[in-house]
Parts: sequence; C-alpha cells; structure tokens
Amino acid sequence: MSLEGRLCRSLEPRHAHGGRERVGGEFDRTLTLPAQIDAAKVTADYRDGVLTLKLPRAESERPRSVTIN
Amino acid sequence: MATQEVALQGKKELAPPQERTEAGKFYSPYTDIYETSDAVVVAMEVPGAERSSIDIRLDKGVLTVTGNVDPHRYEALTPIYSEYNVGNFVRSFTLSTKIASDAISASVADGVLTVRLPKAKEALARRIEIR
Repeated sequence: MSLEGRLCRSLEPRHAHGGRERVGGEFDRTLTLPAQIDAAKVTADYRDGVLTLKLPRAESERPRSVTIN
Repeated sequence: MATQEVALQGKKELAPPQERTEAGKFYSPYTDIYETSDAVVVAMEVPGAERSSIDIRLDKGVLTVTGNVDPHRYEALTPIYSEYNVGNFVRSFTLSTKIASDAISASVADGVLTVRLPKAKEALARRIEIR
C-alpha cells in the first residue's frame, strides 16, 4: 500500500519571530500489509488532520468455522 | 522544484509530566509563531483534536492551548503496529507583547490551529514625525 501527500505550511518568513518547529513538504509512505486485502472495499476518512484507512481483509483471509459432520 | 528531505519529528511528550486528573497522555504540539506589524500569529499542529475540544485561554499574558483527542475513535481497534500515539495536547506561552484580548481570533483546519492575537493599541509601532 502506498500513500502520498503534501504538507502545506503557509509561512510569513519576513515576520518570523519566536519558535519555528513545524515542517512542510511532501510526504509519502509505503506499508506492507500483514494480510490480503479486498482492494475494492478500501475506504478512507480524513478528519482533523488524521487520515484513517480501513482495509478490509479479503474473504480468503477471514477465519471460518468448519462444522464436523 | 528540488526535492527537500523532510526529517520526521517524533511527538514530544510533556516532560516533566504534570500531575493531572485526566486520563491519557499529553503532548506538546509543534508550533510556529509569527509576528506581523499588527498581530502575533501562532500556528500549532493538533491533529485529531476536534474543534469543540480545543480550549484557548489568555490569562495574565500567558496563552494556554489545550486540545483533547477522542480516544473512542480507536477503542474498538486492536493495535498491531503503533508509532503515532494518540494523546491530548497542551502548551503555554508567555506573550511579551501586549495583546488586545477581546480581538483574539482562532481557526482550525486540517489539524492545524491558528490563533491570531492582535497587538494592543499601545504596543503598535508608531512613526514619529520630527517637527
């Protein structure tokens, strides 16, 4: 899975004063997932600066119970 | 445009941790402070803090911002990897400039809180004509 975005930091550098701690720039991140994913059912939610991706397990990965005949 | 390498910052946990009655960890949000000719502008990273939970106070020249992150959003999940660390935010600044406290305004967008503190009239720079 791979993710890309850009951090925008609007600066007023001419008037910079006091602390400058925040960073700006592009970001990307690639993660290897521990399970097979049903790519068609991936959903994303972005709220208050936090991105939440919900990656449902593929049907083949789900635990299943087998009944003994 | 040249590619700029952005160093990752870890979240700064409050140290030494103050004793609090609230549950949860507290982090110190990364903050930029700018000064314009008529105001001091504070930009603070508070991802996950909802607008309604952010509290901004100015008392005796000390600006204190707290923000709470709703832990219920993560409660049903079993962590298998964690580096973000969900926690609340708190930070105080002593302002060296006199502020018109009734004209302070704040906005929050994409997890960044911007507080605009207009300078009090007596703190504004003034040009003096020589007669």
